[in-house]
Amino acid sequence: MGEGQLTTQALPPTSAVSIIAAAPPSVASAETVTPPAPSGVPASPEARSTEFRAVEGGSEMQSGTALLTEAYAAIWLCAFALLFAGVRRMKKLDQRIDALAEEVARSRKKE
Amino acid sequence: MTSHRAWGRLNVALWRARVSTRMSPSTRASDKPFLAVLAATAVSLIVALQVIFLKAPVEASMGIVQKIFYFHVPAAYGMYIGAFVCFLGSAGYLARGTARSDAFAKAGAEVAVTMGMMVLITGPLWAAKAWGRYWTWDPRLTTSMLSVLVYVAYVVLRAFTGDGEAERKFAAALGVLGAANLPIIHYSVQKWGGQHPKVISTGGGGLRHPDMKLALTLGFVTFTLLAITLVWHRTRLHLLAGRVDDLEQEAIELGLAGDG
Repeated sequence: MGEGQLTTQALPPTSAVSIIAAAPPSVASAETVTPPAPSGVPASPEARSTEFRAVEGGSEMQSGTALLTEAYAAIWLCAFALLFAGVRRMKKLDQRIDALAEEVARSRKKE
Repeated sequence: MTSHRAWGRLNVALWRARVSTRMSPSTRASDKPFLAVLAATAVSLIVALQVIFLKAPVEASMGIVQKIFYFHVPAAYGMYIGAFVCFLGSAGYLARGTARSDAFAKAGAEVAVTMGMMVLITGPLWAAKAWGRYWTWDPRLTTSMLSVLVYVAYVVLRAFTGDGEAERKFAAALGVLGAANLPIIHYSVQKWGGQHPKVISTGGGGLRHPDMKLALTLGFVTFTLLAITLVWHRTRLHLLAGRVDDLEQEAIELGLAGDG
């Protein structure tokens, strides 16, 4: 910025205009347009007591602690779902074996 | 007419099957290695939780949500273990056709799905904070989801079709071909870029704090043991189910039990 001002002062006014026009849009606009104030700037204590201002996509939209807890719970749920399915299958197998053993015992008595 | 020898054989087989379903340390010597791995998994899990939540520091820019990383990456590694087991079992089944290989492949696919679900749930929860959205069609995310879907297809195929030779062979082919996606997931970030972090793949320089490295190492140890325990448990279960099927068939042939 400081260098640009020194160059334009050394050149005639017409050349200065052409340098600004040839510069990238961000540089040109930085010299001519004042950037808007950042939206995340906290309001003064007086303003906070009288108004609430909404922020789109603020950094605290999602609580990190809540997300970590959800992820941790999801891991346990997945692991326990597989274990629960295994225990249920084991019980069913146990019932089938018992039924088969009963059948064998009954047939043996008949003989 | 039922022979006494056949009855005796069936009784012994039933007793063995019953012992397998009612597992206790004193019943079978072969249960002891499994129980040792189970105990090691439990101890490792407790130590890992202690280090992750109480010792590892909070990351500077992401905050506490970064700790998801210590579960997410090891779970992805666990998915690779499950998928590799499925590949080995499937290749073994295609080569030799044994029930043991088939049970191993089935167990591997189930573990791959479980671990894959952990990855697909924890990743978006981290991304919600880090990227501001749950999902993006990044190469690594897309290939990971594709891989999980391949193993979901395997598990669904085995659950809802019969257990005949043709179904087993078809599933084994799927188990072998499904493994082809694993290297693609791993190298997708290097080849195609994307937003997915490369903390480990860039020479391991992304974790500077020693407690962060320790937490990740313990995460890897825990999830490796967890994957081994789950594969072992599911393999035993599938082998036992196959044995009970055979016994029922034998009983029917001996005229001891009805078809139902």
